[in-house]
Amino acid sequence: MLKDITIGQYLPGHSFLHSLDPRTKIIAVLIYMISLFVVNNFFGLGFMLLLSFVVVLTSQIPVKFFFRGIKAIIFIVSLTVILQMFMTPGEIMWQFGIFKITKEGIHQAIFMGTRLILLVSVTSILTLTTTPISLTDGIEHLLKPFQRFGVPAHELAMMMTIALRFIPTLIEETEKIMKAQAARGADFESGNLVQRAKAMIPLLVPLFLNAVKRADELAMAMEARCYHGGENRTRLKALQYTKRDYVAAVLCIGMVAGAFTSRFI
Amino acid sequence: MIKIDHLTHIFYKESTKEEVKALDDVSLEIHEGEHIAVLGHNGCGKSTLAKHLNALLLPTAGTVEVDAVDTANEADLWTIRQMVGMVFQNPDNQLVATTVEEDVAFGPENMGIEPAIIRQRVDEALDAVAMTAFKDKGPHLLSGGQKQRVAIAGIIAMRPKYIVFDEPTAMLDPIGRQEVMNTIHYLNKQEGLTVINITHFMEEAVQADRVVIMEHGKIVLSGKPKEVFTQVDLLKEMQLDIPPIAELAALLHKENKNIAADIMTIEEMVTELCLWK
Amino acid sequence: MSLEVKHVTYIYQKGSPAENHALQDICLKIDEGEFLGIVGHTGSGKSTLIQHLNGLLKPSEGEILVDGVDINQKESRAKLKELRMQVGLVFQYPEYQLFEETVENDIAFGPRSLGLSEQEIKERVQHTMELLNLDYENFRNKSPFELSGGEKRKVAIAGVLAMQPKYLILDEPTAGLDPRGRQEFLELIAMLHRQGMTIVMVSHSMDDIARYAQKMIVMEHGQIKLSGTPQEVFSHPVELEQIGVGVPTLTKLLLRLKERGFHVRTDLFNVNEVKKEILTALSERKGDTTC
Repeated sequence: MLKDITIGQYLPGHSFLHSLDPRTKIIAVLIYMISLFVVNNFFGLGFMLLLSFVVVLTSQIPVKFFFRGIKAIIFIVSLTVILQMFMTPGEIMWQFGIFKITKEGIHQAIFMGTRLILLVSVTSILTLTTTPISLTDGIEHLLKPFQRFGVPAHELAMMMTIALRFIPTLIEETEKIMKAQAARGADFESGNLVQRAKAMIPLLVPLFLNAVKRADELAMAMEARCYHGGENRTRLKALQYTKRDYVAAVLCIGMVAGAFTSRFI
Repeated sequence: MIKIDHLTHIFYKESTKEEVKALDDVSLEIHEGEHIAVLGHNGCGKSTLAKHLNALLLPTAGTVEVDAVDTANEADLWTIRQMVGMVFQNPDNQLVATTVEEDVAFGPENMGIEPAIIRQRVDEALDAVAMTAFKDKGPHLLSGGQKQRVAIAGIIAMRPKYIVFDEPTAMLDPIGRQEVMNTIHYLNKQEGLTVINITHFMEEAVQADRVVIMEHGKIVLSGKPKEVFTQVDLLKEMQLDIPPIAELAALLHKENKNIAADIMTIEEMVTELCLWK
Repeated sequence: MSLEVKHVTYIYQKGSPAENHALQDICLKIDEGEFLGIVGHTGSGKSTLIQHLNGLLKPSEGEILVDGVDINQKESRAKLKELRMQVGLVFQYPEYQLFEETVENDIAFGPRSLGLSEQEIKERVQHTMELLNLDYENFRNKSPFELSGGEKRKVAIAGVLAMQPKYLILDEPTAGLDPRGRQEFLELIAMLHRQGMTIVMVSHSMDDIARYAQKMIVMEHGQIKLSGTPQEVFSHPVELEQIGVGVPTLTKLLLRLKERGFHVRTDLFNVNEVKKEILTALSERKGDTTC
């Protein structure tokens, strides 16, 4: 069912990571990404692996969520691993006809595969431990300094909020329209690609038109509630850094320092 | 007081390329603490009228004044929208945020209120509509009636004096409709808010202090429910529903003049008939 | 000929934590030419039940028979599609499913999916539109999106009727309409019924059900709690109140009067009949002062 799709899934909890300011978490993920690509030997990779493992444990999120995330990208990971393994030039270890596996290839494959898996796991911790609201709040705040260069920070955040708000509604509506058209004999399941694409028209046209109508009504309702952009707007939950965020900041510096140091081992 | 004075609104209809007079010289005074029901068919101008009360639309001719402030005065726009709240028909298309509590906070946030005070107002507003237990839920997990109550909370958190309800129960089932009507009555009677309820449901109109019936952009009938709903023939001519008990009372009155014609509810009817038994 | 629901159980999201018996052992027979009303809360299983009637949902257990044939059996799939089209289903707010550029094409969508000839399709569209008081020449080339709310809904219903179903199922056909539109639609449905179509109507309005339906069922928690003629069903006010669907306004009045010692029948729904009944009761009891 369409309802099973969860975008930016959030799992309520009370871990150290849950209680961090969203800005801290977003920046920490960025630093993590950099560190992950800074490390270039097995000491560094081991360091990052260990660190990631600790972060996962700290989040108190059931491991199955990470496996699910990894399962979703397994195709991309395998592809990367295979490509790296066969395409990297260097000292040949095995060769079958034109296919050859090099020592450097294996090295690269392990690195890229591990990096991808770690990257997906740790980024998913960001959405799993942060409510969509504070995530958009965090993004809005972090983008604010760039507003003077024309980055519409508030507008972007508002768009994200509304999108998140209406995804479940639109999914429900999609199911409803599919059923209504099926009752008129529409067939969404059989036929070749062209036929199937054509069969989507009775679904997509009403969906689009209703979305336009919704947007219209929502805009009116927002105006009636005194919405006039981000100017002079306050928030119910103002973002505030706490001691935990400073602790996290120190740990991040440690991480990036560790990553750089590992290059010289 | 909201004072509507010779209000006319003309808009240009894109599809037929002609001008339509949605409101035609309408005058009406809405007093503080009143509960007014506005009835009429689709296209009679009642929604257009409603949108003039908080400056979502501006008059083509005539004026609308909210507590002596002209809605056409752009400088006072946000004051007017704060004073006159509005709840719309479709419960889905007026909730903005991803949780109930954040949505209720939306209006006060736009007004630039201090976070601590927003918190207090949100809690009070959710309490007033009995939705406190749902404050962390996503709107998509609520029933229609619950969503509509959240929308109402979002308005009362802005501390308005007047609330305009634009067919708030049209898309709800009977339970949701009852929930919303109970909330509206509570706000009017207990919190002293002025209520303007635009509706198709005669049962709702019967409970108002005053009923206004519109047709072709004009007010055609206005008065206490008992005065309006006794005009059965006129209402039938306009193809409006008549509350079943009012219709029965009119029929009984025709046959037996002892029975009063202005009976609106079951309880009143039982009492009345017992008198003549 | 009939539409039959035999011991149907439907389990929603079987095996998941959200597993839910949306329908439990439902048995129901709708005879050709009947007008059946279905009432119950949101979530009582009404929508799930009607989606079974034309095969949109498949029962977890039990079977759905259209004119004696199980519509969910595997054999002769092509025939099953036709069989399902015998049962026309009009959803709530059906105007949200309109998508074609012209009224004519939108109504023709269903017949076209049945693979009829263009001539036949045109005839059906024309016939259906006239049945619903939509002038063919005037409306055929209009965009459905520039019509009024009531007209849009008519076009949407025409799209189902043009498949010429024997059984027509309507989920709250008057929701969101103004009083005039509501009246017009109820009259249209009554007319279709008079012309021999079997009607199943889901409604929240006990007054409408009392006025139009010949039989009715009351659903709660995926089960049929009460069934029979409206007279029979509405003679159980206590149960109906518990289920939370209530009784028609005039029935409520008659019941209250009876409690207070009036000798009145309580199975009347028409305002003129109720008037007569009350006047008779009043004249009979003149002089008696116990109230």
